[in-house]
Amino acid sequence: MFVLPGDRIRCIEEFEAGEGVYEENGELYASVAGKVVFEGKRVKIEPANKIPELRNGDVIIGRVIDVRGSIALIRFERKVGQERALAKSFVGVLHVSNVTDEFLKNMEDAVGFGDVVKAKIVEDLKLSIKGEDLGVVKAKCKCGNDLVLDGDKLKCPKCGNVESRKISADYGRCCNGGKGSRNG
Amino acid sequence: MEEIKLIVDGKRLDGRGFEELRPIKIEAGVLKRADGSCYLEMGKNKVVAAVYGPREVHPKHLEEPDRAIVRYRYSMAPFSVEERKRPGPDRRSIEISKVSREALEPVIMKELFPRSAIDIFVEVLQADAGSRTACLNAASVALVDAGIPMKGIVTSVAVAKVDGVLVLDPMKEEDNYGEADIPFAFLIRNGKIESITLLQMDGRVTAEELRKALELAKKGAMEIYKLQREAIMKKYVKEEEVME
Repeated sequence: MFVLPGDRIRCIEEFEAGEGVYEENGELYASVAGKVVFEGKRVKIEPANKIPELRNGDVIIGRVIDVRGSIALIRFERKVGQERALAKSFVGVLHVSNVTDEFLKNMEDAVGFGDVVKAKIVEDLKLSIKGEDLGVVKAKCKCGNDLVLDGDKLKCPKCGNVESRKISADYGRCCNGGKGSRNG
Repeated sequence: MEEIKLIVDGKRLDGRGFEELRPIKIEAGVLKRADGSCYLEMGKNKVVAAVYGPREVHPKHLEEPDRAIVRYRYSMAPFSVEERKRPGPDRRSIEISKVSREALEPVIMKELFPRSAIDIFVEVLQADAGSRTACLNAASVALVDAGIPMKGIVTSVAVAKVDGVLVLDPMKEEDNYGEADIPFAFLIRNGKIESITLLQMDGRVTAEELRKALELAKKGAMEIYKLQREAIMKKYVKEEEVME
């Protein structure tokens, strides 16, 4: 059953209000457009157009805004696979211990300032880039050129500068669900 | 100036009856980049609405710690009226933006998105009286399209008094030469009108007439509500799924 905001679903005696459902005067109404789903004692609505929400375990696209010592700060930009902007921007923390399973001394060898990274939310604001598809997906050289993949390193085609990163398998490719990035 | 007859033989200038709406066309999801959008025609009015958000608030000081802020911008294109309209906000469009925002605010569940903003933009491409009502109808379809939680759907319609009678959904001639113009907006929940979220009046009517105008507007709003529902259903529901 497809409902629109304000449609009465059931009364409070029958079910508990789940996501997309609100209660008023003992009645349950839909608050978003979508399909009604009954889950045991709860009713919720599978929204037709979902507003992105972050949970532990989600993969996000972010930008490195600071690298200091053993941590890097990453601003969340999008949830992977969703073009829609986040309701609120967060800054997450990536610790060196969450970069690879191997030993890594310097955070600078894994991510650089301004890099676009794909990272997994481990817990709240703690991030991890362990895993093949996680890591840097786009990076720029100090001279301003895009770095290109060169073996397991990144190389600047203009100035020849070579940098080391924790590179994602998706490096250089659009990884936001293939719908095309906002910046074309 | 010669007196203009707005009602001839019990019919209006465009051949409508007193309680008849202009033809309405609604299409949801017309803009790819917006989170929700809607194109709406109400007679000769043509408007587009776009909804963005919930998203980050800029400038930051407008942020509210316990709820989302709602911003509504009504704007008329320079070519929307016969005489070129100077682009940009003016006194009239700022006022319309304010009252329209206040018509939508109690319906949107703002407390679900603290520290964020829900932006609604409506652009009038062609105006023919009652553009604020057309814009509100478009905006509420765009809000549903954007998946923003709401208590119900807002539907808006105007009633005018011309040549001494109340008529539904006035067009330009009736608005310009009529005695009064009263736009309404209602919160409709579960197919019932729950409350009035916008009421303005230009000109004057008696208390009794206002009561009658309200009844007339309610009738018109229910018709528009059906069309709004259809527009959203058309975008999201495939043929085999039928409403209960």
